[in-house]
Amino acid sequence: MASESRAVVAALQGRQFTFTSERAWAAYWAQALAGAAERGARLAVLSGSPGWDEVWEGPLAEAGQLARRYGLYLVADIGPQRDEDGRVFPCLHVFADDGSLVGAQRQIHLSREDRALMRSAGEELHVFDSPAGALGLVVGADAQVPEVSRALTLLGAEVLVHVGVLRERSEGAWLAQLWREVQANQMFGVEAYPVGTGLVGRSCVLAPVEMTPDGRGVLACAENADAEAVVAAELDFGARAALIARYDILAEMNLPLYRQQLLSLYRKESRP
Amino acid sequence: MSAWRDAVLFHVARALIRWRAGLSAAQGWLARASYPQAIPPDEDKARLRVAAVQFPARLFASPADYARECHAWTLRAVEAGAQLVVFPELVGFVPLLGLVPGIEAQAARATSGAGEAGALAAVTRLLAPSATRVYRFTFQNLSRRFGVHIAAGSAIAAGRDGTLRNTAYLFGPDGFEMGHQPKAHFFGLEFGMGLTRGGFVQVYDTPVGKLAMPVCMDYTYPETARIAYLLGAEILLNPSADINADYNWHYQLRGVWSRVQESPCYGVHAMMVGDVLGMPFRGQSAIVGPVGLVGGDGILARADACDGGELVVADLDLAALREFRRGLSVEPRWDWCARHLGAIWERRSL
Repeated sequence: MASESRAVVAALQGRQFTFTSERAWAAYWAQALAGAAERGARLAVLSGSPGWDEVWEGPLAEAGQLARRYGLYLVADIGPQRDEDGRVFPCLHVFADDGSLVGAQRQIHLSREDRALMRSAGEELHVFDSPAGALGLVVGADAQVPEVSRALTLLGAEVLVHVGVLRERSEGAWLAQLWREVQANQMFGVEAYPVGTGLVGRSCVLAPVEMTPDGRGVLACAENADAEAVVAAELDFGARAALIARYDILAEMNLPLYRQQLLSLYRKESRP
Repeated sequence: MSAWRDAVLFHVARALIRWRAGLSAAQGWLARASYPQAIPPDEDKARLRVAAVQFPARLFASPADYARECHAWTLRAVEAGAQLVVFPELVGFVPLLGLVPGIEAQAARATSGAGEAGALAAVTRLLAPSATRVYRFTFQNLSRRFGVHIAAGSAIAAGRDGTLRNTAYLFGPDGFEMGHQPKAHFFGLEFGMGLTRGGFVQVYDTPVGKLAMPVCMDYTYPETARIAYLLGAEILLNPSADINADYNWHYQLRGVWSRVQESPCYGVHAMMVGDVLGMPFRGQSAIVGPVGLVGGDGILARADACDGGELVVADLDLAALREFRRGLSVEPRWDWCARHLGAIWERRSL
């Protein structure tokens, strides 16, 4: 549940680099975070990863320091997690505005690239409370599997956060990512994409189409797909509650149908 | 006394509607109409031409007029080479409200609130048996005489237990019903119509591909398309009738377009349009596919306008779809879905 009825959030669209150090990573993001803080953001989402394959949770301390310095919650890809068995998990981290680590969300469904890198899949979903609403993190390819966003919504998330990579310039390729999930679940969405060679920066803040003035479901979007940007917008949780009062997607789910038919299909398709 | 009077009025009105819904004139007209034959589908089911009818709704006071209109759209589709023709939701009900004596005056008197919902439920119960009989008769004739597969949108079907369901029908080129699909999720007007939700999703393996036909709002829910996809569907037929004076394209993108991006299939979205009894039906019929398969914005064809009749035609490459599915980068972990969604649904059901 959002602790405030309105909150500004920001997607920070950065350039995809392989950083030379944690300090360099922090120095790069400081300016954009200052811009987000100036606009009153309570939550900032960083695009892209530090670019290191062999460093686990690299700039952990630096990310916390940035969150504290700018007084906002921070969602960032600071590199994958590694467990005691040596398995490597793509994930996103959440830092509170006092600099503490709130938690991490591992990616649940892997892409071909993830499998080629010998990544492992996470299991549990988490919802993180923040001053910008309850956050559900959609990591990488999880945006293509609607069960993830649906489960996060049913677990109480109010804002879906996605950090991914976009390589197609068409409007359809972009709408097929988090926008689709935001509409299906009557959620807010914050989506951060990096820019760079072969990458399309279309970072955005999303809402159900009924809540946006032009009916497109977009509260703010990067104007230039090739340039760094701070994309910020205000989320109105009261307006979202009013929308849900008019039609509540979750309340109208056909649970007997899902339990009887979809569940058995999931089980049938499950690998041994 | 009031209940007795209402019962008498109900039976009188139903008898009058039955009389107006007599099929002999429609039968005569359909027997005289022309029927160029549809091109049979490929034996290997690799390619297919489909047409979505953006049906301009108005009231028909006679089954013959209704049959003439449905024939005209099917003829256009067949002449355009369509092998599968898709009509919109409630094409077997809304236009046939014209069979109800004085319906326009009743609608003009209607006020919002519980009274209107009750009146709507009463009209639905009155009309549904006759309207569905006219509808089935019409589309069985059209599919058989043109030799074409018709996904004939939907009508209000009465069950043996007296329940009413918004049900989509598929008719084969021999005129027989190949399948049906009751709507499983409701929106807006339907809550006042006294309808019962459907409890299954079916996929029909036909000479024009593996078809599923959930109805309109069903596609707002990823679960519906997911069931169809896991059952092997290749084409999701989406009959719709949206009452939305503020329509824009992004409203509509939340439906089957979104679903085929996550459950890779082709989608055929047929909309009812026009103003009937104060209800502004809006939408742009479209034939869509996964962005990664069909390119661009995932749209093969789309109606130009949201408020006028139009035929939307496109070719589907089912062989390419099958190849696309084999090359998907993300393999959903169905075991994870079973564990987590299953547990959440269980908790919500308690």
